[in-house]
Amino acid sequence: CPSLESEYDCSFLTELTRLFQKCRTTGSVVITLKKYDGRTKPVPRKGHPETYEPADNKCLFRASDGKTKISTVVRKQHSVTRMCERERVCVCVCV
Amino acid sequence: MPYYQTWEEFARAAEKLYLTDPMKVRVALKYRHCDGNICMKVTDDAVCLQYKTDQAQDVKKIEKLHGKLMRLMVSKESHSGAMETD
Repeated sequence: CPSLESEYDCSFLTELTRLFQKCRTTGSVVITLKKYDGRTKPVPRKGHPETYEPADNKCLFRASDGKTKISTVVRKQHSVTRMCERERVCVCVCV
Repeated sequence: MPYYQTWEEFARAAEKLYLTDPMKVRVALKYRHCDGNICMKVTDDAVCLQYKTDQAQDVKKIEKLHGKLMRLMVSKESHSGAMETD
């Protein structure tokens, strides 16, 4: 569960680009995407789960080169558009 | 885990898996510039669908599907359910 996933902002795109640039000659960039329900703590085995503000319209976007990990929470369609645009730019460099 | 040989089959299976249980599914993209290939994985930890390619035209399709899944995750659950095929 994400404890401090920051909401999407422009600096994430800069960091994402940097990650791709670092991996040009060697290594991989892995991007992971999953729907996010707003939980900030894991469900405990015993006892009651923490209350949290449930969300239906968010996703976690994580990127890593194996060493550096970055992540953000995406919740707006226009953020998705910008993310896809940046991915396209980064990947054109890649393949 | 086996890789799909055709993009269309993979894309269809991937969307279907996601729509079955959106909270369980995660999507992973692995880019290797040094080898010039991309691998896309869509899994709910029970079923694992993978597609790998080094072709530029497939990369566009992967990006499109990735974006589509992201949009589905970010929209409210009560979407129309209409699936466009590439």
